Order: sequence, then structure tokens, then C-alpha cells
Amino acid sequence: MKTMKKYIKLLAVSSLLILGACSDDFLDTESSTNKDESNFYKTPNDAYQGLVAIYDVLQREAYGGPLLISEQASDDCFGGYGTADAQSDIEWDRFLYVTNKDMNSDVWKFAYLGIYRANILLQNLDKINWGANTALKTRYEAEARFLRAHFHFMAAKMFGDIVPLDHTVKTSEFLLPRQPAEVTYALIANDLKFAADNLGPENYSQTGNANYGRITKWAAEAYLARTFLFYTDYYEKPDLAGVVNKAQAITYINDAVSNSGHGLVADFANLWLAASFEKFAGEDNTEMVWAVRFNGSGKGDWGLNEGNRFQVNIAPRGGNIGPYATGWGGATVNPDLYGAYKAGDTRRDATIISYNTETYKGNPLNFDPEERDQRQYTGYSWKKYCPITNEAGVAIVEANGGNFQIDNYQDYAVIRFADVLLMAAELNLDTNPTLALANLNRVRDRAFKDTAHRVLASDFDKKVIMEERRLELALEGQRYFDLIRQDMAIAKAAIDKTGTTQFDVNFRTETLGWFPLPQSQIVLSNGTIKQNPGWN
Amino acid sequence: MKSKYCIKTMLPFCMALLLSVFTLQSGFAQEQSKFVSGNVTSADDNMGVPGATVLVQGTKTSTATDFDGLYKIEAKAGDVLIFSFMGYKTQKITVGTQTKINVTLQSETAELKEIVVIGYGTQKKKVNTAATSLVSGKDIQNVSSLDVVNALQGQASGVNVTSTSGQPGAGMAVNIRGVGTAGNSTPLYVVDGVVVDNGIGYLDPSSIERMDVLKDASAGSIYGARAANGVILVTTKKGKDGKMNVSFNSYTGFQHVAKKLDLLNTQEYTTIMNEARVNSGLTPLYTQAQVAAMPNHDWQDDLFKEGAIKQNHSLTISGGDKKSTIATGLSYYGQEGMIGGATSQSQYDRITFNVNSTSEVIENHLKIGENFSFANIKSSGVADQGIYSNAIRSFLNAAPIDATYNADGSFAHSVVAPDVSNPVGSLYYNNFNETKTNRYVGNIFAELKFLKNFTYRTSFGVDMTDSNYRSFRPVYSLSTTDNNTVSSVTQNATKSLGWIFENTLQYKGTLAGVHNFDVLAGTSAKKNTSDFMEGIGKNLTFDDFDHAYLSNATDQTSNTVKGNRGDYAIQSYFGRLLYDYNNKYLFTATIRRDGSSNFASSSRYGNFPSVSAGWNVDKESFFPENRVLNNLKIRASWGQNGNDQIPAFSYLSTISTYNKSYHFGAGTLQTGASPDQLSNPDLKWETSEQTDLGFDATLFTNFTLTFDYYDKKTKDWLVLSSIPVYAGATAPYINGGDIQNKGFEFSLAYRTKFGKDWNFSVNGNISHNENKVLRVANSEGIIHGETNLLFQGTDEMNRVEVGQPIGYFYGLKTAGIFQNAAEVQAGVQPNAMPGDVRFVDLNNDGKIDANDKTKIGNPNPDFTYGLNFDLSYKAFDLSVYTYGVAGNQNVFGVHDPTRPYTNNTTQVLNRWTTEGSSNTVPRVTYGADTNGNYTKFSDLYVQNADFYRIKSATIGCDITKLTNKLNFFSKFRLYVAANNLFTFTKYKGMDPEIGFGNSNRDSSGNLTQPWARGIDVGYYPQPRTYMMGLNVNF
Repeated sequence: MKTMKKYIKLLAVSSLLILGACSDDFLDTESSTNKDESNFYKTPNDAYQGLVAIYDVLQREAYGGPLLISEQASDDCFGGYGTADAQSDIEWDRFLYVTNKDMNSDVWKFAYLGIYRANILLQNLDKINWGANTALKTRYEAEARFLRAHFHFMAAKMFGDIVPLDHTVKTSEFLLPRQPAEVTYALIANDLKFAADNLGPENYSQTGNANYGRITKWAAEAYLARTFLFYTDYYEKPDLAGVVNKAQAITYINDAVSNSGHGLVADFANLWLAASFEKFAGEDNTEMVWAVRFNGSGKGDWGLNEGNRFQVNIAPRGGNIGPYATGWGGATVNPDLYGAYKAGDTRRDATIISYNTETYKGNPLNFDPEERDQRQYTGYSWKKYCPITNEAGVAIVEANGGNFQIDNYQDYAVIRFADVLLMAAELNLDTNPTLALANLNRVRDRAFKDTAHRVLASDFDKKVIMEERRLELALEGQRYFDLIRQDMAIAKAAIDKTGTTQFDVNFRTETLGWFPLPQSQIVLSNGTIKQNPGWN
Repeated sequence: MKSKYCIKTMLPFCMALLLSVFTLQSGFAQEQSKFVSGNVTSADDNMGVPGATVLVQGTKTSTATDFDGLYKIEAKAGDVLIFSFMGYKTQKITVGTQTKINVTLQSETAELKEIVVIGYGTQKKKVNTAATSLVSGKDIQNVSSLDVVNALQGQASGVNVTSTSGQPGAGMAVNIRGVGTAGNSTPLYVVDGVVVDNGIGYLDPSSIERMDVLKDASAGSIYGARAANGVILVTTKKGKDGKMNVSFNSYTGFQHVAKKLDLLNTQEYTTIMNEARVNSGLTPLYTQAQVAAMPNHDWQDDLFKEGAIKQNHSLTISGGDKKSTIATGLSYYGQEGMIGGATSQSQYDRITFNVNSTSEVIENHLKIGENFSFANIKSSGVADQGIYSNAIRSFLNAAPIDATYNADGSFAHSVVAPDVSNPVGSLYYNNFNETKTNRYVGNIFAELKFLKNFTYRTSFGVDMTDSNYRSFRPVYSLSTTDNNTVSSVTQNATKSLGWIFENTLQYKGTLAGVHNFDVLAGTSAKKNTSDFMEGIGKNLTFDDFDHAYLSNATDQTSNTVKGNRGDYAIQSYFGRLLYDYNNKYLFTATIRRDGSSNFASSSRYGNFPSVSAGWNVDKESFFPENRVLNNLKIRASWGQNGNDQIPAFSYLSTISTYNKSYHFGAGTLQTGASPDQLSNPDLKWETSEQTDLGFDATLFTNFTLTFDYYDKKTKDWLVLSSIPVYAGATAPYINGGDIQNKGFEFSLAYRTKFGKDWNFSVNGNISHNENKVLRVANSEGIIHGETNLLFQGTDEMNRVEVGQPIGYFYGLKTAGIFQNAAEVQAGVQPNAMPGDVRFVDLNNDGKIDANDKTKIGNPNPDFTYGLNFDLSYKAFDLSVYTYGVAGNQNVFGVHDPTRPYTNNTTQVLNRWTTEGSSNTVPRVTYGADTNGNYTKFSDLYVQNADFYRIKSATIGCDITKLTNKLNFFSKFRLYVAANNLFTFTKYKGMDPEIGFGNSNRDSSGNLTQPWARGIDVGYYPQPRTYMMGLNVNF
């Protein structure tokens, strides 16, 4: 018995000791599925994945994105949607700011999500073991910087002054203020210039090219021209934030026109699925200088943003109609836009659905706005980006096993070659009007399918270019920014509409054309971020 | 289908069979010749105890008392007689020269209450210095609920238990002494010494001996890192030395909806719609002739299944001898959902089995034992949370003019709008699911006693769960938005294993006759791992739920699979000193050091100390002998507890590839990867620091009284911070703020008997808690509530803000209705019309905007209280348990104002129509509510949610007390009972008890804002249940 007691004591004390000595490894756990910053960014493939993650943010264009908001705000569209839907759409249309103080938060959020993903990759590029392949590093850097510029511009064209970020922010930087536009545009210009100067001369926009959708030198040159035009026009500056002067901008855009290998698709209608169906030119056609890619692989999974969530917003409300698949009837098209096309302009019927004149299989479309609960019905809606049905009248997205709200798959054309030509026309206007006019008339020749509708040199001025931009690039997210960059009076003259209560719009020039910043971010900034003028 | 019903009916039958076998065996007890005789009475009521066992120790000689409690047994002088009876403390008396021995048995409940379970041990109540609450097994059973936690409601002061849904198997929100954090505020559960994660819903109420709630820091700190939100210790029933006890408990009940909403009928609905159209400048929709031909439909009739069945049958057997004891039980619980039960889409079945045993391997030195529980749970349920696919909400918003079925039996399409879907159809198509779970919880232990005063105990416990889930969505079309073109199946499986290894060394002894020591030192290590796998398949070969398995999916391109693993580890060292001087001066000190894997290695460890003291004033010589104050103990404590409950790796910036793909050309998706969350390597424990002052007293012998005042500050909560969006990544978890809960708890029990046969007891308790946020670690001192909680487009409506109670309602104040154009002109709302709501321009800046929002309600009750009565007369007993809350508000938001054709409650009939017609309910509009009467969040939505509820009422009769023909039973009680019999409230919704707030979850599946409460967007009410039951003991 005595020995037993001894054993017992020994056992008790030793097991306490054993546990007391339990090493710290016991608490070391490692995530089974996720790497962390300490063991990622090692190989070129890690860098590639980091790059893909930046591209991924492009797919967030949806309700509340710049495309929808700016078109509602422009003279080309109204708010639309259903009679009982949220007021935000009416407020975007009418420059009111009443119901939802956070109404533009998605633009702000996704712009900075993209900027963050670009910055985290750029910061870690040097940690990657590139071996001899420094060209690959330069290429990734150029693409990442292009995308960083794109996301900055996305926010800057909507909100004016923003917080430009060339690095990921630390906790101590959570109260950063907005910077003057010059700071932001210098960052944008440097990034785009780097991309234009460092990317190779490849053009991926040919049918079947496996790299279609990736940034090219030509996209960078064109994007540089776009930001140059917006910045110098809106802020009335001679150059792009001291980084790119006008001569350089002209060189870039002329290079894109002459050497990119991009061209116009012969028939304008074939650019748009709902305007061409089986004649569709395909998304990877020669005219797409840069497009945001979408696909239908999400198959109803709301957690994935692979599909185009924008399309459902502008599709006909209240059920499929004719060859067009259903959606929410947002941003109904202003009849003035329909009327602005001259007879013979093929762009009108490729851009806009006209419910009162179009027929399908011999029958009129018969859109009943009351029954379909359509607010601000005008008789017109979007044909560009409208989802379509198959022969059986089923939305193709659903026939493919997707959800019609989130799995539409049409790409969003950010820069078409037609836009490149029109930007070239605008930039060359003062120094080489002949070249400028030739660029413009290439666009017109295609639109009218003849040469009889060319603009004459005697009539040629900036106003002509802006009108051509309106018709050519209608419903592509350009119009509102083309208006405000000219000046407030021009924007107001174009946008204001009076006479019918339902469609009244009064552009408030005191806003300077900027949208309200999301209120939540102003609140969070503890006063370092102030609301835009006219929105308090 | 068939097999399910088969099990349900077979199980009670098998139990009955078992029962009868045991009945036969016990019938062998024979009367012996007389030698010693006497009377066995109960201390509770001085009544004779029939059926008590009298055993001569060490022999097989035994007898049972008769109907009046009298016994006769042959015994010699020096023999020891053992008197035992279920529910009473066993007594031993040595036979001397006397021939008459009268025995008074103390009820076990009384014994139960003299002991406090304190974690790694027990302590006599008299010398305990902590603030604890006890709920006994009997009170747990009386509540007849699925989850034993429910029994704490109204029975334990300072514990606020709120239903989060009335659906079978839904969890309860349990908060001890207020919501102590903006993060996870669930208390720690410890079952027979095993720390159990994910709740204790696997336990059969009949298997529980007692639950002890550790409320103050002194009691909790032995559990250190996990105790900041309080600790609930569950002790299951153990076998005892003596006769084998068998008990069978069974009830079957029928559930009914206690309250329906007064919704508009067709006449009222069409009137309102037409008026709304006219008010919005549109043409009326319906003519009288059309209305006459329309159905008049209360969708609530389709929503609820009346008389849905709830049943529980359990068998427990316990007993033992000097060397070993055993207690084992088997139970079945089944509950049909009141919602979804009609389409067989809501059903909860639970089978439990448990066994506790001990054996002495070396007498007085080495004891080994085990506690083990197993539960098999099968459940299916309906989506009932939030504003999307919430079954209840869609029924309450459906128009009465719509029909359920077409003439051919198919689901009718709505006539009001193409995007309105038939709620019955939607409920049916969207809720095919089934979860099957096996849960094993238990431990084995060994206890060594040596050198008289020392005990070494080692225990190894496991908490294992394996769970399979399956759901199915068929092809269907109910509206433009509610349809599915490709059938799909989801199957997933989770296996988790937690083990806990604990070792303690204890010294217990008395020095110099007056210094009583109980010193404990120990270590604990716990590790949890879990594996998860999920597959989703599309386009199934069979189009029904029974065949919905992944192998049926034909669309290989869109099938998806995923899987992952989770890990958690914690290791601890702890020590405790319990000291008292002659039971008069009491002192406790505890220290625990914990390291948790949820933090970076630099900030892993935390130390959690506590001290407490007590003074038994009545033990003092100066304490006068008196009839008024019989007992008085004064207590004080201070201590710190921790909380580490956040998702693993929250301190790291992990790289994820989810939803980051993109594709180039016609190629396949390219994987993208980036960090999702900012890292925070400094993340550390949340600490609660609490001071408690209290006393326990006995007055006039029959009154026992406990009072506690506490002040609890929780520092450095673990929360997701709000950071500016330009940071680009998700906010990290931070130690984001401090909160204070202070208040008092008061409980009073009274117990008496009057006349010869009447017994009466009443227990009341009331708790007051005041919750105030002291710090939020961002520049504005606010954690904003999420948007879109009431309907798509709702502005922020609740928040956590310094100086305010957690989760308070934040919105506009209203000041009546604009009665005419002149009033509108005089106001500051440019878009208003007569009949619209006048919002209060709080800051007088001439406009209504976010700056005018303020506190308009508080979901946290000021008071929670319970009042419980027990009355018995001879064989009959009656008990009524009630509880209530006061001082809190709910948001009544079941009506969706963003769709013009949604139905409404009859409250809208009091709307403004002409000047002077109403100053509370605004005019109706059809869309275009430009003034934002209901689209702005205001006090129009907020209602007082005080309620007082009769939680359970039971009337029973123990037949063994009426006749002696059932002598072999010690109890044969039949009873009828009702749960949720009546609720006194002014709240307009179906159920005022709303633990729901915000169902949004983060990527780890945790609620993003667990502090959100009291938001009624269509809430699954708790059923009213009528039950018949049986308790049999022998």
C-alpha cells in the first residue's frame, strides 16, 4: 500500500509537470486553405494570381455602378425601374439627394477595392523570384498600374477630388483627406504612361486570341487620351497634371490609330448582341480596344461576380418581350436621343429598342407599362447590353443554367476603336484638322454605310465631335462625362427637361457635375473628408 | 417517409416494453416479519413517504413503506438501516435497542441547493462567495423544452434568454448580466467538466441534475479566457449507492399559433390600394364588381399548421452499490414545425443516449468513471430570417386577393404583379433540406486520493460532431423573380472533434479545527479540429428531394466542390484557494493563465485573476438569536475574465481566391488571389472586469433572499472595426471598445405548508441591467448598423455608440401628420403633402437629413423577471412558471413599404384621409412615397416590447398517492401542461420576444453584428403548446 501511494504521488506530480511543460507549438495553427502575406508573393504564378484578382474587380459593374448612374444622370436616360422601386434612381436622374445618403457607395467601394489589389501586388513584386524573366515583371507591373489608374479615374470622374493611393494604407492613415485633382491625375498619368511605354505592341483583339481582355499598349495609349481630354477640358488645364503634354497625348493617340491593328467592325449593329443575334461579330472583335470580360460560369451563385450584373437593370421590365429577355426596366431612354439620329444612321436601331415601332415575327411588341409596372416609360429602352432570349422565348442565360439577374455574360466595351478615332479627332482638331476630320468620317462612314454623310471641313468643330460621340457612344457610360467636361452651362442645357412632371430634370450647376460622396465615408473620416458642393 | 413515422411510433413502444420488464422485476419485493417499525416522512410536508426503500446494509433484506409511509423490517441491533427514496437524500440509521425508528427524509432539491457547483469541484453554499444561480432538474423538466437552456428563462436571475426563432431546434440568445460585447456574447457551457462548443441542445432535459450559472468574475475566472460572458455548468444525473431507480417520462403535445396579425381582408385591401393609387395620381385598380368576385384570403391560414405535434419520451435508469454507480438514459424528442410542417418541410427529431458511471478500483483511493452522451438529430426547416426568402414575411405581405391554388391544384400565380410570388409555393420549392447530426460528448476520468487530504484528478473529454446537410431546389416558376430553371442539389459534411485534457491536484483539509482550506492547481489543454466538404450539383436526373444526391447531377461543367479545415487550441494553467475561518470568514482567490491559437504568438497569453470574500454574519456570537433574520451572508468579489471567440486567423491577412477569378480570351477562368482582410498582429483578449456585492439571507425561516449588485466592464471587445472603404480590404478584428453593464439581481423564495396537505412555494426574481458603451475604437466612436435590414433601401437603423446602450435604434423622430397645405408650407419637408409624416428637425437646420437622427429605442430590457409558483395538495400538484421583460422596444417592420401592393395590418385603416382624420398614421401612397413616410426609419416603426408571459403551467396527479394498487411504483404521475399559455403585451407583432436583429454573416459563418436585436421583419413566433404527460418512477 505504501509503495502504491508513492506511485500515485509520483504520477500526480509528474503529469502536472508534463502538462506544465507543454510547448508553445501546441497553439501554433496554420490555415489549411489560405496562404497569408508571409508565404504568398513568392513565385511568378503568385504574381499572376495577384494580377487576375485586380482584373476581377472590373466585374463589379452593376446596379449603382458608374455606367448606370452616369447614364441616368445624363440627358440620354431617365431613372426608370418599377413604380414602387427605390427613389435613388429618380434622384440620380434629377440630381436630388434625399433618401439614401450612401447611394454612391458602390462606386467608391469598388474603385478602392481595385486600387488596393493593385497596390498590394505592386508592393510585393520585388519579393517575387522572377529569375531571368524581368520582362514578365515589367508586364505585370504595367498591367497593374494601368488598372490602378483605371480605378482612380473611375472614382475621380464621378466625385472630383478623391484620396489618391499609391500604396496600401496603414491604420494610421485612416483619416487621409481628399487631394486636389492634380495629385490624383498625376498618379493616373504616370501609371498609364508607364503602361503605354512598357507594354509590347501586341493586339489581342482578334477572334480566338487567348489573351483577349488583357491590357495592351494600345489600351493604355487610348486611356491616356481619355483622361487627358477629361482633365484638361474639365479643369481647363494645358496638360495632364504636368506629366503628359498635349503633343505627347497626340503622339500616343495617333500611334493607337495607326499602329494598333485595331479597326472598325463593318456593320455597327454587329457589335451588339441584341441588335445582331446570329450576325454578332463576337466579343473578341477587332474594334474592342479594351473590354471588361464577363461569363456565365456563376450559375446562380450570388457569391460570385463572374456575370454581368448590369444588364438586368436596363432590360425590359415585367417579362421577356419579343427577342429581349426581361429585367428591371431601369434608365429608360430619352426620346430625344432616339430623335437625334439622322435618317439612315444604322446606329439608332442598334442602340435603342423602340417599343412602338419594332415588331417581332411580324407582331408589334406591345409594351404595356401599367401592367409591367414600369416607371418613367418613354417607349424606348436599351438595346446595347440588352440580354436576349432564344427561339423558344426563354432567356438564353437561363437556358444555360444561369440566373437572369447575375449571370448575363456580355462584355462591357470600355474603349472601342470608334472612340479612339473620335478622341484622335478631338486631340488633332487644332493642330491637324485634316487628320482629325478623316478620323471622324471613318466613324460616320461606318454608321451610315456610305460616304454621303461625311462632315465637311467647313462645318467641322469640337461641337460636331461631341455630337458624334453622343450618337456613337450612346449608352456606353461616356455621355455624362463628355457633357460636364465641356462646362456647366453646356451640361445644364443638355440635361434640363421641363414640362412634364414625370420627367422633369433640373441639373444643379452648383454641384459642378460631381456626385455626392457616400455619407458613411464622410462620417467615418471624422471630418477630414467633406461632402461635395451642393450635396450638403 | 414511412420509416420516419415508424421510428417515431416504435420508440415509445419499446420504452414502454422496457418499462414493463423492470416493473416485473421490482414486483419481487416481499414483506418481512416485524422487528423494527416506524414512519418515513418527508421534511417538506411532514407527510408519510409511500414506497420508500428500507434496506438492511450488507444484506438482501429490504422493504418498502406503505401508503402512509409506514414500514416494518427484521433487523438486529447494530445493523444499519438505509432509507432511500427517489428525489430524497438517502439516510442511514444504526439500529440500537429501540424497535421504533421514525425517519424524516430531506428532499434532494433541498440538498441540491445546499451545494454549489463551482467548476473543478463543488462547495457548500454556506461558504461560497460567488454570485451563482441554480436551476434544478425538476424545473428544467417542467418547462418541457427541446433545449435545456430554455429553462433558465425566468428561473435564473441575471440571465436573459431570448428566442431567436420559434422554429424547432432554433438557438436561443443567452446573455448573462447584459450584452457584454459587440462580438460574440454567448456564455461558456461546461457539461460534467467538458467545455462544450456550439450549445447544449444535444441534452435530454430528463438527464440533467442541475444547471449552475456562474455570473460574477470570481466564479468564472477559473475558466479564464472563455468566461467573460459568464459560465453555465451543467451536471447530468449520476447513479447513487442504493436501489436501482427507473424513471420514464413522456409527453405529447400539440402546438398552436398564439397570435395572428390582423391583416387587411380583400374589401379593406382593395379600398386601400385604390386610395393609394388616387393619392399617387394614378387610376384606381379595382371596381366594386371586381372585388366582389375576388377571393378573400388570410394567408396566415396557409402559413401555420394547427396542432403540429411535439413529443418527448425518455427513460432513465440509475443505481449502484458501494463500489460503483451507474445512470443511463435513452430519449426521443420529436417536433413538427408550426410553419412548414404542413408541407413536411419542418421537422426536428432527436434521439439521445447517455451513461454516467463510476467505479472504485481501489477503495477510498482510486475511482474511475465516465460521463457520456450521444445524440442523433435529424432536422429540416424553413428559411425564416432576414428580409429575403423569409417564409413568414412573404405570407404577411401577400395580397388577400391572391389564391393559393389553381383549379388543377398547381400553385396559383399572383394577380397583383408579375414579380410577386405565391408564398406557399415559394415555401414549398425553396425549403427542401435535411440536416443529420451525430453528437458525442463525454469524458473519462480518474480520481486518486492520497495522504488523506490530496486528490489528483485527470480527465480526458471529447466533443465530437458529425453532420451531413442536403438541400434541393427543383425546377419551378412562380414569378419573374422566384423561379429556377435548373434543378440543383447541395450536399455537405462537417466533422469536428474537440478534445480536452485536464489535470488537477487538490488539497482539502482543516487546520487547527477552524482553518478550512481547499486548494486547487491544474492544467488544461483543448484542441478543436473540423473538416468541411461541400458539393453542389446541377440538372438532376431525378426531380425530387428523396433522390437529391450529387451523383444525380448531370451538368458536369457547373458542379462545384469545396472543402476546408479549421483548428483551434487553448492551453491553460490555473490555481484556486478557498479558505474559510470556521465557516465565518470566507475567502477565495483564483488565477488562470490561458494561451489561445486565435491570436498571434506575441499576444497569445492572458492572465485572469479574481478575489472574493464573504462573511457569515449569523455565525458571529453577537448575532442575536431572533425569529426574523435566520441567516445572513455578505459577499464581495472582483475579478477579470476573458473572451477569445473570434474566427481563427483573424489576426492575419490571409490570401483567398474566392470570387477573384477572371478570364481572358475564350479560356477558362483564371484564379486570382489577394488578401481580403487587413492584418492585426496586436489582436488580444477581450477582458471583462467585474465587481459584485451581494448578500444571502433567510427570513422568518421560510423566506430565502439573494441580492447582488454588479458593475461589469468589458474592455477591448473583439469586433470587426469600421474602417474607411479606401483601405480596400475588409476591416480586421480589433480590440474595439469598452462596455459597461451594471445592475442588480434580486431573488426571493418563499415556501410554506398550510393545513395538513397543502404545500406552497413561490420563487420570484428580478434583474435590472443598464448597458452603456464606453468606448468604440474609431474616430467617431460608432459601429454603424448595416443597411437594408427592414427592406431593400433601409438606412442605418441601429448602432453601437459611446454613451448609449448597445444596438440602440437610431432614426428620425416624428411629430404627427401634416394636416393641410399650410402646415406643409410651414414645415421643412419640400416633398411632403398633407397626410404625410412630420419629421422632427432636431438640429433646426431647416431640413430633414441624417443629422436629425437620434435614439428612438433600445432593444435591451431594463428589467427581466420571473415568478414561479408550485402548489400541491395530496396527490395533486400545480405549477406555473412565468417571466417577463420591461423597458425595451422592438421594431415592427413586417410590412414591406417598397412594394405598393403588399398587404398591411388593419392599423393602416386609421390612415390620414382628410384634415383631422389621423395624426398618427400617414396617408397611403402607391409607390413614390416622396416624403419617405415609411422609407425613412423613424419612431413610426418602434414599439414598446414589454411583456409578461405564462411560460408553462402544469397540473399533475400522482396516482400512487391515491391508491395502493400501484405499490411497486414510487410515482405514477399524469399531467397536463401548457407552454406559452398567454402573453400580456401591447406589442403589435405575433411575438414580442425577438432575439433576431440581423442575419448577415461573414465568410466564416459568424453573424456580422450579433448585438443587433429586436427587429421584427416577420418573425417565427413561439408556439402555444398543450401537452399530456406521464412520469413513472420505481
